[in-house]
Amino acid sequence: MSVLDRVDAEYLPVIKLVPPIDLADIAAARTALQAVFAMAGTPDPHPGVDRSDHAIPNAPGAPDALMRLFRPRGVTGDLPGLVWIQGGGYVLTSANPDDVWCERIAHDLQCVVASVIWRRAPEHPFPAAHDDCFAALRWMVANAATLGVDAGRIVVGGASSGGGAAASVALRARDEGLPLRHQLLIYPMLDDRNATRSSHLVTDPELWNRSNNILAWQAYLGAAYGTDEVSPFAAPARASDLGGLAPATILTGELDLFVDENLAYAQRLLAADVPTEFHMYPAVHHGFDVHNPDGHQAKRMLADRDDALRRAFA
Amino acid sequence: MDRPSAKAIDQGRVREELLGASDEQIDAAVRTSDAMALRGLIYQLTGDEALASLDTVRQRIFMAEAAIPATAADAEAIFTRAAAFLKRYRDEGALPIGPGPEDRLAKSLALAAGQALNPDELDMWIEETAIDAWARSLVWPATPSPEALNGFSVAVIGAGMGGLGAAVQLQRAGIPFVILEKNDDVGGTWFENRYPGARVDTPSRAYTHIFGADYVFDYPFSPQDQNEDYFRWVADTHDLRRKVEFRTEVRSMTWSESEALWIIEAVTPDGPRTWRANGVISATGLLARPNIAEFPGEEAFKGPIFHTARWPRDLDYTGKRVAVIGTGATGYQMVPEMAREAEHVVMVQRKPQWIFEVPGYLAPLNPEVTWLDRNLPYHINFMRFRTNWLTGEHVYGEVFNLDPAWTSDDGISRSALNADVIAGRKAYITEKFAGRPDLAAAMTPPHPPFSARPILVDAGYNIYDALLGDKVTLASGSVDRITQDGLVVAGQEYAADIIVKATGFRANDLLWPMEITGRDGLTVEQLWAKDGCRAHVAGSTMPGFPNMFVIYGPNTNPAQGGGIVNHEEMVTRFALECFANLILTGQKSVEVSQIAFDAYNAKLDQRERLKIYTDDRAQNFFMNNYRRSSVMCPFGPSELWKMLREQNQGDMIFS
Repeated sequence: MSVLDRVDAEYLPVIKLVPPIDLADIAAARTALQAVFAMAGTPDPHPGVDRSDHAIPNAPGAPDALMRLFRPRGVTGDLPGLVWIQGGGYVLTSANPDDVWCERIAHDLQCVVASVIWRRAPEHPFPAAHDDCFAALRWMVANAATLGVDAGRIVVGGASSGGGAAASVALRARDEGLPLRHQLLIYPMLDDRNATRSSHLVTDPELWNRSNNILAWQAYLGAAYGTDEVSPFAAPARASDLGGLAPATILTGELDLFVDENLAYAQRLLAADVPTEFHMYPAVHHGFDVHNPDGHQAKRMLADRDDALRRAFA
Repeated sequence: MDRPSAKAIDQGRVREELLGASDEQIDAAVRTSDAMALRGLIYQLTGDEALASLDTVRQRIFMAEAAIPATAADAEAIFTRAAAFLKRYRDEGALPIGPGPEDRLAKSLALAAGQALNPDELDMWIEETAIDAWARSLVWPATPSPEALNGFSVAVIGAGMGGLGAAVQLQRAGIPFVILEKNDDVGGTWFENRYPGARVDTPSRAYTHIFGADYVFDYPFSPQDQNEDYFRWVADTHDLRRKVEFRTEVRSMTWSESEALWIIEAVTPDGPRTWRANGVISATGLLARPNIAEFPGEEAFKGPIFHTARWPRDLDYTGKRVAVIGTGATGYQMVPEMAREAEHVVMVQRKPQWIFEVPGYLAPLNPEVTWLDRNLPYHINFMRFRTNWLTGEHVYGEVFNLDPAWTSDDGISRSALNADVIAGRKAYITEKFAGRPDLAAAMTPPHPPFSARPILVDAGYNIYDALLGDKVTLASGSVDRITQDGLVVAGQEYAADIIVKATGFRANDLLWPMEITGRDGLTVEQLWAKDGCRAHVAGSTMPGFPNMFVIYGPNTNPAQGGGIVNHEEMVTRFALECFANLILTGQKSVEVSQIAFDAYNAKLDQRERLKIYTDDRAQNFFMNNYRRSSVMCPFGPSELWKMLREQNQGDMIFS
């Protein structure tokens, strides 16, 4: 059965336009993705936002984590902070870590955004990406004063594998006692077991599908894939206790491969008394907001996202 | 890789292979082993005093004297007892057994050596025998807190013999670490050097870490692929690959005084990346950076031209004309091997080297010997000891020493033993090249043996045999230029389809091309500007470069017998002990004092005067541009071992 038949027509032209991503050949998939970025072009930097690149201390044995920092130009004083984690199934990234998206958030919501350029699997399996992302949070908290960030108003967020990584950072922040105001999880990749109804639902090559998701988890987990050795910091759905986590916002689509694991995580957060907001948008797929930000459901989602961030930053 | 390993068997399994062995099989097998090794082993396992009372005599074994059983009957008495032991062991079910009483080892090793061991060296020899695979691991003087352990990390540079050894010990000690490796896989020298005939010249029994001593090698001197297999086995057995950043080449290391850590810049497949580490163990190797000679006209040559350490994986030289430039160990190993398949080989030689023929150098071990390695408990350990003893500082080590009072009749020799070796070598040359006085003259070196690397070759087929065949031509002299179709040597033109540069390595540029900056902006080039590379004991560490240790560092290459792995393991333990001290005390840095460094180097310079390698007529990598050696180690392993064991707070400054 094709999920594509059920996707809102607003998103189909772009879906048809972009080349399919098949992780069976990771090198080719990366090249294909670069072609997509090239099609989108590189817009000029936002005139109201300063950006700077940083290499920051990481876990023992790990190379310095790389990140790009965005700050509203000319704004002094302590601003709220967002550690942003781009998606890519842990195997695909661009050298341009969601620049436009981060600039817009930094400008519109008047916050400092640190966008992590995490190390890619399979060259760098877990805990590489998780360590890189956690290093960014730790760095922002430790250097809040210098950066002009209010350490009490830091949010971690991400989309897809970035959402999964954001959830893992929230888990570790709780375990290590790091302050975290909120976790923003956009269709997060949380569960390596691929056992839910929705994980079987999507097989269309044009969409993030079951085959890619399994290959991505295999790349990220390496030898631990398919075993009980998978760390909750790799797959947050494996965490046995969600109590005491930062409040969460989960945004996902009805036709997303991840919708069931997202629902399940939201329910477990509620059960653990974690303040939780959950939105499921009808007839949309994984990455719908990227495919057409002007689509009706995409506009709803982006508004919900900003609303959640505004409340968290208040 | 699943490989039968002697110790793994002792760790829990019945020796099934032995249960099926007949008496005749056992009788035959023990007689293929070394009688002295068996004497020590069976004594250790049984305490049979009859073995102790057997007579021995001293005999020349490969250039130096060592004890062997006095008579065939004495040897037979040993074999009989070994066979009896093994049959009894079989009949009792071949279950795992312990190595016998610890306090018996001194005598057992003495019986295998044929002489008493110096009491102050005994522990080193016991470590080297590797009955305890972890005898050189860090022993924590107190239990470190998990926070202190995880707040410390070590970067290991290189995944060859030294780096893998350090990584295994760091992992065992629980100290966080990463290995940065420039190549695609582990193995270092044995990953890079894939030329035909590439082979180790240290006996393979001694060419493992002590934790790998139960790895059963099939060859007495393993070819490249078998050595590479060993390193892969180490990496896989200890699950080290996940700790290695491959294709990651360190460009610079800079000490940050404020953070008390090293900032390491490397080039990776993802671009330049930075690591920070409290400690560094540099294990980049001695023969790691090719000395790529450039010749005029090279660009015109039509065929492949490359250095031996950059051997093209898909090169087929069958039926081709090959020119080999350079006659160090590589050239002499490679030419006879290539002559088998190539149409013709031209060997360009500026200076000949002394070769030493070893019977069976190329052949695999007798399968009955490797059967004993698997089935006679601790056979592999006592064979390792006996090999180490014969090639060690009290036997073979003598060949490296000069006699200051010696006056030579031959114009070359530097001691009576050296003269004796030269006479033997010349006799071999005369015999081999009977009827070819031109080759005999061209192949007789003008420098004393052991002033350059002694080159081990097969007694049955070696460079001399290759030169005598019709497939190899000797071109004496320097390369004038390279042409479209070959090369010109001393005015004479030679045709070639392939040119191989066997031009060696930049052994005197240790740590190069990494840019290393220590305290107060001091670089290693500045530290070494006066007369080349120097370090503290066994190449381990330098003043001004805190928390940094070097494996196979300056003046570490053995020149008093023994193998390099022994030196590497001593330095690894020393480094880990220093790191452990930092972790336990919360201090930030450890550095050798200038006084200790100077004192060691003064002693080294003094000792060097007694070494034949200082004879610079060989003009090789043993000597640097300042007419001293920054490569060779004039001390015996037991001296280094004692010096490193006796390090105290005075020599190493913790702060």
